[in-house]
Amino acid sequence: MTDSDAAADAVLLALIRDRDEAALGMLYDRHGRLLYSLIRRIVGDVTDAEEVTQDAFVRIWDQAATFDRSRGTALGWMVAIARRLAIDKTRSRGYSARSKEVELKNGHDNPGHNPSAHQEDALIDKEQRQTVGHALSVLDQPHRDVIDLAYFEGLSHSGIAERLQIPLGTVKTRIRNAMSALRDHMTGHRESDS
Amino acid sequence: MTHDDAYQLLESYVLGALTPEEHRDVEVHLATNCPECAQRLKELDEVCANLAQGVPKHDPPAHMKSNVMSSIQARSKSGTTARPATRINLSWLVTGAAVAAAVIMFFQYQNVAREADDLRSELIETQDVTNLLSMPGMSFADLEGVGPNEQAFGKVVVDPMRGEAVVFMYALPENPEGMEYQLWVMRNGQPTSVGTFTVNEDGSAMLMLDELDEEDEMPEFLVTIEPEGGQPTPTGMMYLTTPGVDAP
Repeated sequence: MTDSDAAADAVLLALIRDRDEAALGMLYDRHGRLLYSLIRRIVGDVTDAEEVTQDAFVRIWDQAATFDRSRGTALGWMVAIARRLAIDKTRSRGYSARSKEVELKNGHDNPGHNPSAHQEDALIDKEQRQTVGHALSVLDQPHRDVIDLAYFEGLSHSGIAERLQIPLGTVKTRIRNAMSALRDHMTGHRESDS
Repeated sequence: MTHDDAYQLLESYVLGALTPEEHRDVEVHLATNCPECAQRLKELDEVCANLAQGVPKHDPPAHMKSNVMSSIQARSKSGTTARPATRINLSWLVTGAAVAAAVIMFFQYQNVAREADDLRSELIETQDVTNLLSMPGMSFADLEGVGPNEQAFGKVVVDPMRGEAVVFMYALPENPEGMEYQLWVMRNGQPTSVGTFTVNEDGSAMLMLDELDEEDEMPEFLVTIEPEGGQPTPTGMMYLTTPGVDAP
């Protein structure tokens, strides 16, 4: 993301704060694909991803006035909203059961559902086992694991410790080190690009 | 919670991995406007956004955008939005590519390779613009093309508290040799010059104004074409106005 991109997003959020629907449409054009992809990665279900993405843009509309540029970029703010809603969705009652149901239906005749959507669903599990692509490739596996569980599953320190069977202190240290390494890597990229 | 304690937890804070108590304590510390933590938080926010960029991309279904827009319109109609509709009318933003963001295109257009000094000063200007636009209490108004120049359009953002404004203009014809556009603000019914300008190759221009009357929430503006250097009063063809301004 360039400074110009960040500035443009900030402008659009300022317009949305003043109830400008066209500005929201433009923000959707700019980042709808990214937010939908992130949400889909977290919830693991195409139908739920659509619903949560829609909720995310409604939340962006409702809360644009709370965006604080001193705390980060507009995109970071929107990503945080999308992540939170997606993680909440995975925690909602009945979610696991329904996801399993979708999984079982994959590959079977099911006139009530879109076959191509099911094929996409089938791919999601595979994707979920992959790293987050390039962004996490700078980390070794133990550090990737803690970021993966915190970022995509929304687990707390204690949840991660329990899942990985490692001490709480180790989780905290790994998260801190991993985020610092990712930040350094990003900064390095920016400097080498300039 | 001390600064050091909070600083050590910022990575987990942005990931949402803290307990509710820890989260609240970090928030309390951040509310003290600690500059070191604020800077770190911005960096970590960028890391989180970057992690999202690494996810395999999928196109959302074609109907999703219309669903989103319908949801927003339904909320506006039911009065559940936090703020009432303002005078803002950005129909020009959706009239096509133009857009497109008018504002966005302006910034992008500026990104053609230039000298480092130009880039630095532009970044400062960009920062000024976004600072202005992201502040609460801004007033917005459209600029409309006039007569044969009806394709031209623009946007004015005014900070009435500080007497500052940013004026974005688009789709203006290239200025003829020896001529410049001149921006006027109406004061006591009389046009007062606030500057001359030329347009970029795409017909866009942006002016930042800092000497408006502070009580004037949304002054009226007009743009004419004038001999280079400008005139004390408008003499040339009018290209843009805020609605309601008659030709001088």
